[in-house]
Amino acid sequence: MFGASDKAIEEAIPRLRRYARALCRDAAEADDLVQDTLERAWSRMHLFRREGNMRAWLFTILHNLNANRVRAIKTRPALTTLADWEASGAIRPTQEEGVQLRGVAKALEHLPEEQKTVLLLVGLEDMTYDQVAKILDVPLGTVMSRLSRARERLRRLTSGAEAPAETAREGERP
Amino acid sequence: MSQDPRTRPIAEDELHALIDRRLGGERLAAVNDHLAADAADAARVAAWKAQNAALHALYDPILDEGVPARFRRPARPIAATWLGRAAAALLLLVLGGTGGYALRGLDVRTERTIVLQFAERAAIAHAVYSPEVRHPVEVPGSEEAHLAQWLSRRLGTPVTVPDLQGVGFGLVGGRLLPDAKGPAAQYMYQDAAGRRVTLYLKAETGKAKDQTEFEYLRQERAGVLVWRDGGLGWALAGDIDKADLLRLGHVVYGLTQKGR
Repeated sequence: MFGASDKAIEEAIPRLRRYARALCRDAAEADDLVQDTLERAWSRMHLFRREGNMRAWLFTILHNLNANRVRAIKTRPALTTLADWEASGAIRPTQEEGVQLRGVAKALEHLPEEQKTVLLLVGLEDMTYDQVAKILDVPLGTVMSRLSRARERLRRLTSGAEAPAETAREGERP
Repeated sequence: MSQDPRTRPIAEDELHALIDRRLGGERLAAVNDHLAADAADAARVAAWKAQNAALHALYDPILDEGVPARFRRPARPIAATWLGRAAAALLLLVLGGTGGYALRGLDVRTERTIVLQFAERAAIAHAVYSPEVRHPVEVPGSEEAHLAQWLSRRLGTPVTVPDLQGVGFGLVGGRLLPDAKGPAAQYMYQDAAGRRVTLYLKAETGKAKDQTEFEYLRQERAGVLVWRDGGLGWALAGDIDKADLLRLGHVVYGLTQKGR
């Protein structure tokens, strides 16, 4: 009975991992997030509508778990975070392209979580604006304004026009 | 709304829709015309496109990694059967009745996270105490025997203070610190140039691997070398070259091997 769903879940794992890695940066933390998502999905399979979109369902679960994770991080003392770490043997691109990529990865960390989420679901996961609105449970207009803010912020950060200082929540258009 | 779709002003959302390939027909042509005429918007759109490309370049390799075994669904998920659920509920009740202690004892963190967090605490301790001028340590290096005795008692396992004089680092002293689940110790050393390194250690009780290789991690201001050996977790932290830190790590490792 779960055969088809199991297969759909398994097929979604690589994309869940890619998204989680972009969200968390620390690979172990990202995979923990994916694992939590899968466990929750397996245990709640009976809640999944058969005609539903499995990938969207899984991304919704992951999004909610990540929101909890981010809240937990925010209440931790901010002396230093795991994200500052760079494990030995990590890729250290020396070529120009690599430097630019690192710049984008770094700038991504300075986006407010809700902007980063939208940017990744649209830009990396190639989801429609409607899908993103459903997953995040926000109006379409909010998705568009977050996307716009995210892209502009990232552009300014990577062009060096803005110092990555505050990541405070910015006002949103209704 | 009733405007001609070919001449309606371009909305910001449409610029996004263009690069996300959600725009079609007449509006696609209208937006492209607009970009041909508006250099500033064209530059913004080009930058956004480059962002998408960068995101894919950064994270697409993960798609090819193959799914780790930990993500396979357990063959017979206990929670999927009613009997299993009842048993799980009963277990929770029992555990709840005993104060939930058994549950709290379960360590659900991954090995990797444990190592990173240990290194992080060592780095924080280094960052906090190594710049200290008047009170860098609790027990000065002149009372080395007392320091070792005291810390052995508090860590619950015999520890010695490695002598790094031979490689140019004299003992400043040591202190007791709180780690995640109990006490940890920090030894501080200083060379002739005033550079300080700290050695952070704690008793390792879990069933985790007792001996690991050196792992080097670099934070903004300090490098940390982490390993596990002889029932202890070790972290050597210092703002010195990776090669120097590694050499020092080998010396510490050798000395603590002999000490047992």
